Amino acid sequence: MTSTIGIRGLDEEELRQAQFDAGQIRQLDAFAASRGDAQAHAGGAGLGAERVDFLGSGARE
Amino acid sequence: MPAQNIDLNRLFSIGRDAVTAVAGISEAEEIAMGREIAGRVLGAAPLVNDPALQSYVNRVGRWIALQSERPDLPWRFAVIESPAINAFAAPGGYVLVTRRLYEILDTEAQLAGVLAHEIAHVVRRHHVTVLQKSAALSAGAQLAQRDNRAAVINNMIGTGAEIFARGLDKSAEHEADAVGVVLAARAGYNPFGLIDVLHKMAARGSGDGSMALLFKTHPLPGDRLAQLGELLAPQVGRLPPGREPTIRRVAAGAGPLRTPSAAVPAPVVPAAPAPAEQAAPKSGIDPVQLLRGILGR
Repeated sequence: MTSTIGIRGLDEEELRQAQFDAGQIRQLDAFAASRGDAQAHAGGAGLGAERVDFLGSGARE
Repeated sequence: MPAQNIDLNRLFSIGRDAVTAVAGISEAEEIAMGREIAGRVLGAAPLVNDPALQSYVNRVGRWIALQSERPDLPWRFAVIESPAINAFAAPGGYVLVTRRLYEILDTEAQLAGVLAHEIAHVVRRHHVTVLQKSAALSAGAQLAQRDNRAAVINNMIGTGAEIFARGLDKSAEHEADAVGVVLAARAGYNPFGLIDVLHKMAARGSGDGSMALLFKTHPLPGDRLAQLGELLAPQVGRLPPGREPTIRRVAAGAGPLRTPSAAVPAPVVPAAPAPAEQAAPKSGIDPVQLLRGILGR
C-alpha cells in the first residue's frame, strides 16, 4: 500500500499488529455528539426524520 | 473403563466451554469489545487533527444512528489518517472512516451513506457474530491445550482487530448496504448517497491500490450496486427525495492527531469516562475478563 511520509496506511499486517492507543480513544470520546447535538445539526441542515420501510431482505422489523 | 470415562468427561467439559463461548454477548460486553478493537485501529491510524471535523462527523453519524433500532449506544465516529479508501465499524457503536475515503465525498448525503452502512453493521451485530464464531473455533483449536487459557484469550483479542483484514461475509455487506440506504433516507438525506459512493469506487476499479483491502473484504462495487438496485426497484417511488447538505472539508494542513500515549500498549481496563449522555465504555469492564467470560471461564 502506498503511504505518505508520516501517514500510515491500513493494510492487513498493520491491522494484525495494531496496538491499543488509550490517548486516541480518549480523544475520540471528547468528540462524541449527544442526542441534542445531533438534532441541532439536523435542524441546521434542514434535515427532518422520515418514515421509510426497510428494503426487501434488509427488513427485519 | 476409567480412562475412557475421563476422556469423555474432559471432552464434554470442553464442549460446554465452546458452547458458552458463542452464547449471547451483553451490550456492555459488546461496547467494551468494540472499544478495544477501535483503540487498536487508532493505534495504527490515528485521528485526523481537525477537532471541528471530528465533531461534525459525530453529529452527522449520531443523527443517522438516532434513526436506527439502537439509538442510544455510545456512538463514536471519526476520520482517521490513512491513504486507504475504507471505513470500519466495531461493535458497540464505533465507526471509523479513512481520510482518503472522506476526501472523495462530495456531499453530506454521501457521507451519510457511508456512515449509515457502518451503523447498520453495528445495529445488526455483524462483527459480534463473527467474533462469536471465532471464539468457538478458538476454543475448539485449544482442545489439546486446555490449560493454556491465556493463549486463547490473546488469540481472541488479536482476532478483534484482524476482523477488518478478514472482513465479513458478503451477505452481511449487502444487508448493511440495504439497511444503510434506509437509515440515511430516514435521517432526511438523499437516499442515493451510498450509491453515489459505490459508483465512485466502481469507477476507480480494482487496480486502485488504495482500495486493495476494501475490495478484498467486500463484494465488488458493481455487485453491490446490482443487489441494491434489485431491492430498491419496487420501492424507489416511495423514497423521499431527501437533502444533500454541503459536506465539511478537512482543514488545510491537518495532520495526524498526536497523543501522549501513542506508543502505550493496551490497558487492562478501558480508559476515560465519556461525556455525560454517552457514558459509553462501561468503566470497570475488563476486556480480558470479558473474553474469559465469552470463553466460558
